[in-house]
Amino acid sequence: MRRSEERKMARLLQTYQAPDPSEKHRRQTRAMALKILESKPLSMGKPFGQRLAEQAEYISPVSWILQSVLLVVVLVCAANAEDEGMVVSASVLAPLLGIVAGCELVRSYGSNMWELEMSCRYDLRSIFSIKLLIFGIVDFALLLLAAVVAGRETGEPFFTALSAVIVPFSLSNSLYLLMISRLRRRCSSYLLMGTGVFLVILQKWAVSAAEANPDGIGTAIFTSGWTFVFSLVLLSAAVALFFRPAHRKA
Amino acid sequence: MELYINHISKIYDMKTAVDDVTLRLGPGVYGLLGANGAGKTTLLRMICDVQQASSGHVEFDHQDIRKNGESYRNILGYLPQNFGYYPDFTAYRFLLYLGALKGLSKGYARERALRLLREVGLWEVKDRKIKTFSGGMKQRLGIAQALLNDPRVLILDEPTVGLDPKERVRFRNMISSLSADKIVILSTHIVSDVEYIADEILVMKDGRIIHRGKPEEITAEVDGKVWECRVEHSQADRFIGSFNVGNLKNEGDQVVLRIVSDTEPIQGAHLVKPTLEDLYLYYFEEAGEEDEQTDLI
Repeated sequence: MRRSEERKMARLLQTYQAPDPSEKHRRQTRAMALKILESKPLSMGKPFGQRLAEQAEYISPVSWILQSVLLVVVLVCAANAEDEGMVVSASVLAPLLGIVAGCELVRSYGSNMWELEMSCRYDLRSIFSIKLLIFGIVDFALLLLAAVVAGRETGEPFFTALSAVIVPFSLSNSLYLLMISRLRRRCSSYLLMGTGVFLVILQKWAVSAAEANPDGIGTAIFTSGWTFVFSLVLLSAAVALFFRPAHRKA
Repeated sequence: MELYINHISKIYDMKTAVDDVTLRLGPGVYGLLGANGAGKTTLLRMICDVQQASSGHVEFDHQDIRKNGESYRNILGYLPQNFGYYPDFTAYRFLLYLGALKGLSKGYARERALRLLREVGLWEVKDRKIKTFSGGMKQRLGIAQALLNDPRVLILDEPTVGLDPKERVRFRNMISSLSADKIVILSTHIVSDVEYIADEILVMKDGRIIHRGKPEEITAEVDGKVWECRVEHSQADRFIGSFNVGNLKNEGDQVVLRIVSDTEPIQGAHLVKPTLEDLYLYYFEEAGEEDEQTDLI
């Protein structure tokens, strides 16, 4: 090719603009790329949301059924109680909510899956944290709802109603986590259930004592904001203890 | 690729389960041979980072596996000695669940799970619940899950328990075919599991690795110590009580005994070529030691 023709070609190419791909071509390219990506062996790391969704898919259906049953029990008891009794009923039964999460956690030990799960990329600690997060969100949402409804029906201040359900919930869950982290494979679902029932009885006694002496120190402690904060700090500490590295002591 | 087990120990209260083990392992198949209670499972658990060592550490490609954490487990496949399952899971769902935990994309996990189910002979029952499986079927499922992420380090603890001879052969062939660029550690007390496929044998006793070498090299340890002799039926029980008898075969009115012993057990006994099983008996059977019989009968 002659130089003048080369220069002409170069100028033409410089001014040429490739046409924009149509939306259809973009979609086709994206779909092909996703298909190829799906067939690749290992992902670089799954987004947390994806892991959350995957783990939720494998939570036992029995756990969801039990969680729903407990919610119905709490709501029915609260609805059948009179006035302030709604808050009291929700408060007394709050320790039961954490049992389902606890039972779901110890399922790894009870089914002897812990060793396999511990050796996976997203290991047992990761599984526990995601399950705790899922059930934590669900339980806190339920308790918040119970506090809002009970408070509205009885006229109790929102914080009092909230504290009445969150404090026993946090304290009981701290105990469940402590039991699981200390006992590990020896911690069965039955043990957690028995502990939950005992805590309900204990809570009932505490509430009765507070009702009998409304101006006493017990009531003051129970309704104090400090107790609310302390219970949440205790729950956080129990979670931290649960996940400390010594968890690999099989 | 190298797995370096650096002076690793595990002590439970007063008992030392693993006692200062040091090993450098490159690609290949390693048979970890030892009696029950030798410390094999504890050692393998520490290699898989399932259990914390009392001292020492494990490195993969010069990086501490405890610090690597997720990236090490990413290339690890592990079959525990007693593994469980969620009872409501089918075989397919079980593999998909573990595929998700191993970080596999859904599409790849599905493809891999189906392929492995076919390879281990569980294709027909992939949608059946695991609780309906026989022991052998569960074990095959366990082997399949260990291979899901095409691991570079494959740890199998007593993988052939419950498998019939045909399944054992299939398993051995499977391991042999994929071991080219992997580190495979196979723990067993069934000698034939490793005799044909292991590149090296690691003999473990009382928490220590007492021998390491190619199968033919370490069987040389018991060269000159394996005997065959013929005895009367009435004498057979006495020999069984006094010596390590590896095999007993009735031939007419006599019994042919294969005995592992430092000294000639009876006049007329002749030496035979030792096998790995003879080595195992020599190191792990206690019967011959309790009633010491050094005189020729």
